[in-house]
Amino acid sequence: MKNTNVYVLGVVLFFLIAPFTIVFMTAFSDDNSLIFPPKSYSVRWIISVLQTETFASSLVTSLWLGIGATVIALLLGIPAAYALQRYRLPETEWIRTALTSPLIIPGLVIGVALLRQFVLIRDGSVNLALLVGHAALVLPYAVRVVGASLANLPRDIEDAALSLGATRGQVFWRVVLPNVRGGVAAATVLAFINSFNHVPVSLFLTGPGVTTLPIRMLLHMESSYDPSIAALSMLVILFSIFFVLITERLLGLSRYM
Amino acid sequence: MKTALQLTNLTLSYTREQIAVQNLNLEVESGELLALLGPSGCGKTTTMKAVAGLLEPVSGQIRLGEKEITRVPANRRDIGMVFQSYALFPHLSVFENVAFGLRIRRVEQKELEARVRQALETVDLSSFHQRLPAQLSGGQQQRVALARAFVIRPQLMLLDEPLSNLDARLRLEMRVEIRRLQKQLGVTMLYVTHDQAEALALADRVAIMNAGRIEQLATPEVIYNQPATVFAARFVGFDNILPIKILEHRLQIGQIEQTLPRVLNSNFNRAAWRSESIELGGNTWKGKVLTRSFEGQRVEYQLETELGLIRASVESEKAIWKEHNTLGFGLPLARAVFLEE
Repeated sequence: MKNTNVYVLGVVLFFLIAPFTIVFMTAFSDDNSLIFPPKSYSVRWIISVLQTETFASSLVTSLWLGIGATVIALLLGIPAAYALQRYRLPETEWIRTALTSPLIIPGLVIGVALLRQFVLIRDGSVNLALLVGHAALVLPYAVRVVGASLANLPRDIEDAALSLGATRGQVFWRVVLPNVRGGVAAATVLAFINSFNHVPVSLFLTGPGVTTLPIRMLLHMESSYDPSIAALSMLVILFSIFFVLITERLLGLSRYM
Repeated sequence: MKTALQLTNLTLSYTREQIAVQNLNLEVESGELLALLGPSGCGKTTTMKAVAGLLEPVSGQIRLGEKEITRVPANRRDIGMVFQSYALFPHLSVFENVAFGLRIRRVEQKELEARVRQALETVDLSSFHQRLPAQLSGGQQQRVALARAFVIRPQLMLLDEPLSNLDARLRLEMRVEIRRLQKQLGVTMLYVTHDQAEALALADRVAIMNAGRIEQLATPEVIYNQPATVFAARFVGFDNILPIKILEHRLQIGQIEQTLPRVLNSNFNRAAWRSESIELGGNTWKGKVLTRSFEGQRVEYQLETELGLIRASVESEKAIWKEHNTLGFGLPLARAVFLEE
């Protein structure tokens, strides 16, 4: 029994880690086209990626988009999660479902809807449409994850703060928020990474001048099949890991994920 | 005596359909410890929540000292509350937990530190000020909760089943501790509990609550010896409550009539005895031992009798009867409490 478990664990780990190995190895390829295993190794594709203007500008777009969408999702999601937790109305479950629906609705639909209704008909900016789309996409993480951590915070603790003289606002800032810090951190990571890696919502909302990094990578792969895509993937993965570690450091996240 | 807290015709409810507390009247005197005693669901915690401002009354009035506070929000009531769950702030150290109320009140740093330090000293936790609540035992958390509530020098302290999460030994210890603290600080306390021994040991006065009403409000001695209602009698340990008839100077229990030593109100239709008041070995009534359980100093009996189940308790050295034995017993009128139901 114990041996079987170890075996299963090994297989799972292999499936999780093997793709990374392939990406990382190909990133250091010296070949002109994308083959595995590489015939010879160098860092020339990594340097080339870092020097490519379009990749850099797409990265900046994706970063701003990720940060913007995450901030909006947290600003809307934390109060929403708090309200859903504290006020048990018959409608609560409906509201919760509505708030998490972007998880179920295909991203393409959100993208097309924003393109048609917002960009084409109302002449809205593509940037704004992207931001709205991504914020909607990651809002469920804020609501669900912060909600789960609020559910673990007993009501008594808030009542205690009230009885000690704190206003509702002080209760929220001094007692509630510090105690769901881990949940907020987890929501931040999930929201940002999801926005940063997301393709479908962005697909219809990009064009000249506004391209997110994953879309840029997709476009690049359509035209040229070289190891720069592996080099870029490796950089994105390293950045994501770095982001998770930083958030973990700052807010203590592992307890909640 | 000044009145610290006055509840007038207070009616409380959580939902529109169900009334939790109806027309409650209660006065707590300044400096006294009053216990609200009752089973779960009797409205005692609901009453406390209304006093704390965590539940808005349907009708009635709450006065704290000279001030009417019925509609004053919880955070402006100047009441210190101790919760059953302690409700310490998990992210703050012991020091900061106790300091919380003072920081909200913008007490300047020097005075704040002195007051927190003194409060922690009072509850004997000085060396624990840097710990987080999760690093404390249940009893220590309880003491932090107490210190946090009294450090703001509230006009009134509310304690909601503060000892029910502690083990038996610690509960006895904390009982003494709370009593000492209350006398030392001279603070008025309203104390909610379902444990009659706790209420009687701690309180200056006890209010027995049942189904949203106060059944009896009296000193522990009076509550213990002369419960006023059948419910109160049962709650404070009168295990034998029998139907009676009073006919002028005669009293009828079952088929047997006795002469009453004094004139009694003929409305009384129940008589109640504690198990230790039952005289085993008499010959007025007959019973059979159903169960016998040894409790150290005493032995508890359950007897099957013509009057129904009788619980009796005698000193161990006199407990000669075994299970299935038949024996006689007497119901001494001098130790009975007469009630109306």
